[in-house]
Amino acid sequence: MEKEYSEKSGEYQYDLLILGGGPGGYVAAIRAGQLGMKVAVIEKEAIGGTCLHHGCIPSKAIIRNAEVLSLIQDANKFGIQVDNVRADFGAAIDRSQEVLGKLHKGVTHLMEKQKVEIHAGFGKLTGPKTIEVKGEKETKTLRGKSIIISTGSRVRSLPHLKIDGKRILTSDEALLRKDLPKSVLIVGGGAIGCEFAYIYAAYGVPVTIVETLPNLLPLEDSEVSKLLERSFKKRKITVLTNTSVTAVKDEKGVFKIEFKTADGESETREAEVILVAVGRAPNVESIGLETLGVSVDEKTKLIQVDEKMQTKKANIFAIGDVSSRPALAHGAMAQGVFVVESLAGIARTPIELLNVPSAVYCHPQVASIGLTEEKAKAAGHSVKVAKFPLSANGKALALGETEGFVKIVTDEKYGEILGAHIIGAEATELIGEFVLAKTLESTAAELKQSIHPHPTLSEAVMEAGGAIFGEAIHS
Amino acid sequence: MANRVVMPKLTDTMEEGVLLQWYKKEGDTVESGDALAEVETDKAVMDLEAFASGTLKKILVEPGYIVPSGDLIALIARDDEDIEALLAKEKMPRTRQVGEEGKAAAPAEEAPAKTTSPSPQQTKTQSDTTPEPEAKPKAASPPSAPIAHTDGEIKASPLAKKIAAERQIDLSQIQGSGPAGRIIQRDLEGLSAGAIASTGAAPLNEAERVELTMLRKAIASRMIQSKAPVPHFYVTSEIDMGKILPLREALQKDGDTPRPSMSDLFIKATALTLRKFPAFRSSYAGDHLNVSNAIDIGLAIGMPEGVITAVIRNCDQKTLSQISAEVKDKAARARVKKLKPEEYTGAVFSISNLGMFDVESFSAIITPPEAAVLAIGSILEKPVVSNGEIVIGKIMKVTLSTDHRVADGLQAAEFLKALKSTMENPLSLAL
Repeated sequence: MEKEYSEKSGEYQYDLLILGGGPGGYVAAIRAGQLGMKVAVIEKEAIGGTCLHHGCIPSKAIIRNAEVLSLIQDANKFGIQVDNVRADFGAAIDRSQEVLGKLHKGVTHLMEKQKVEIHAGFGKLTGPKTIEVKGEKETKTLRGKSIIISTGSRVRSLPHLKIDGKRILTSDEALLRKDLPKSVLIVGGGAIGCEFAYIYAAYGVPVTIVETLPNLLPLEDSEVSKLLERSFKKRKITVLTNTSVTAVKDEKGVFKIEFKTADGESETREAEVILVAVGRAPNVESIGLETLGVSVDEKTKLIQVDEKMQTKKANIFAIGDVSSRPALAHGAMAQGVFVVESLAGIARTPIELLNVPSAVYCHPQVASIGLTEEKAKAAGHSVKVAKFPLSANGKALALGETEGFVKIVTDEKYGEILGAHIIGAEATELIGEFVLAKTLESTAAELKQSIHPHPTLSEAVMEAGGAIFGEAIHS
Repeated sequence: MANRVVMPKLTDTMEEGVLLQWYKKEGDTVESGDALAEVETDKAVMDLEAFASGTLKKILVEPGYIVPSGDLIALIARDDEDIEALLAKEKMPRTRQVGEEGKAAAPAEEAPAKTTSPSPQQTKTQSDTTPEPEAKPKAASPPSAPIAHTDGEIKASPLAKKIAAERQIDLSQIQGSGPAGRIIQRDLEGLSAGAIASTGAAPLNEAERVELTMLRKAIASRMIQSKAPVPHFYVTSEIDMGKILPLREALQKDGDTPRPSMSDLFIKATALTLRKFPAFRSSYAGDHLNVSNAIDIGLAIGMPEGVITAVIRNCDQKTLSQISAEVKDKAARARVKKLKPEEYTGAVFSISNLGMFDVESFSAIITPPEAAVLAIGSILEKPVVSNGEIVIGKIMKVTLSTDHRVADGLQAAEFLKALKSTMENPLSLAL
């Protein structure tokens, strides 16, 4: 070992210890390495965390398979006859594992390049500057000037739905399951629920999706949610909103699931497999927080941090799913870079959570940033909204993807962009324009004036900017 | 042998400090030089370092308590040392919780500390001229109001530019916090809030108890120490900015020199003027004056919670761009309470600029032991007579507050005349 070693204390010395090597942690580590810090990452599983191994990446690879399949199924619309289509779902799972394997190698290589040390094992804070790492063979203590907690989150379940990994699944198991279920009931209409609904439906599995709140994707603008629900129904996905699961009975390999709707009516449906997608719980247990006085919110269990991601202990920071919502990899990455740069003395304005975009990769895709129309009104803005439909966009017509729209929520006074909401083809790519616009504090006027290539889907962004002034050209 | 850890006196004006947090707990090993605790003084948040090595045996003050400087807050000793006997002999710290009425700390009416300064506090001669955008009727907002130099040279976000246009804020007076000093919405919000706070907001319907920050307390006590014993008098003069504004544009276009703000220009011009007027770099000392040869000028930096003076040393020997860069750096750090004590104390003359807030003129309170302070208002478009013709001129009002024990009206008028001449024939500033 070439690390500095303190004879007296028997501990290693680092500028920064990062507990958890998910997207928040590994990005922070690479940035810290770039800035010349001596960094150690403690990871109990594999670098990349949930995002790379059980989340964003494998699911996007599988969704790509579903898209290819959907295109082939729709080929006759383009005058192309395709017969005897055989879709191997297991191959989709295998492909997703290959993809994540490549990325895992890439990320590990980047960390090596920045001389970031990776310590395998379960880390626990034993003091404000020390982390004890229990590895397979040995237990060691690392000592660092600053600590970032980025332990992430794990799938959550409901009391009457015991995850068995075979017939009652979470996304963790569903991403590895190679057999298509005969039918699936998805509990939870958030991003993960909607993405799996799309995947299974594309592969011909009857899908029912149950959401207790009034809309699918309850955090999104309600116009977007409504359109998604209509689109799902067209795809033969049964959408039950305002509905909660009250009882589950296992009858000879088939679940009988009872629901209660908002009107108080009861209903029963059958499904072979239940996928539980009811959100994620922060990993705050057994990592030594209680003894250090790093406080955790009683209700949400999130580590409490200020806008600088600083916990109640000055040298301890917490980023990503363990301290903030929405639980999004790119939010954690940005927070990680922010903390590291702040530690290095680089002047930064804190991360504005409202400027963290969301992206859902079902079909049609959904992406957004900032306030929904409802929330902007509730916040007291004099709101001006405009929408540009993709059915009026040349490229969307050429693609045969006319479902959806770009919606902008502005404050009337200065034309400030408060939020943007996109549903439709490539929404998750198009939202990047709004991310940049909002970060640069551009207003609807600049969107309107920026020249977009024709024909592209991105013209809809410019047209929506024009629509704020009643000046969209193609509508 | 046990070592006492006391609440330090980190600055001359510091009489008490708030213990914000302990980095170490009882039983921890500490090395001399380790940061033991975080302490908030009247100006800044600082780390309290251990002066001895050993074990932190006893902590006597919990976080969130105010302790007078000099009082014992902890003991460092050998691990096996018995400190009970020692503790029994020690005077326990006179603490009170943040928010409690002051009764423990050293009395504030003790002789004013010798040579340090928070900053000049502004008293506006006009009634509140800071525009309150929300309250402003829409019809009154001039959408196309000309703003000095919004010619695209100022780095500001489109949103910030629109807000500035509506509120008539001169963006050239604002320090941006975005990448490379770009002005963003946040910068305008912060400044307006600060300006409103410093003039005293309208009384709340239901009186709400708001605890004073250490900075606000320091300002309150220092201002009384100034206004009561120092006989102020005020002289106001109008400066024609017609020549200096184009010069500023020219300087800015001159390669990579940082754009000088209005404050930077005044610092330089005042420094040159102060060279000729020793009285205004003096302090009154009973039977004599102490005349400073170092021209160290303090610039008031407004923040939501109060105002602090960043001191720029030897301004007469620095170029405009050096001053500019230094002001930018210190103002940014002042806003996050990261100025070192030597960076906010010891000015010989102060400048307070409220020009960015649409203030015609105001007078500032002198910070003892300084003898004067210059208050800068906004640039106003006014008819002026030039070569027998009435034309629209760009006029700025400045007000000099002077300690009458040090100088008289005649000298103040001469000082202003010299300053005016420099600003109106500004080529010497660029040298």
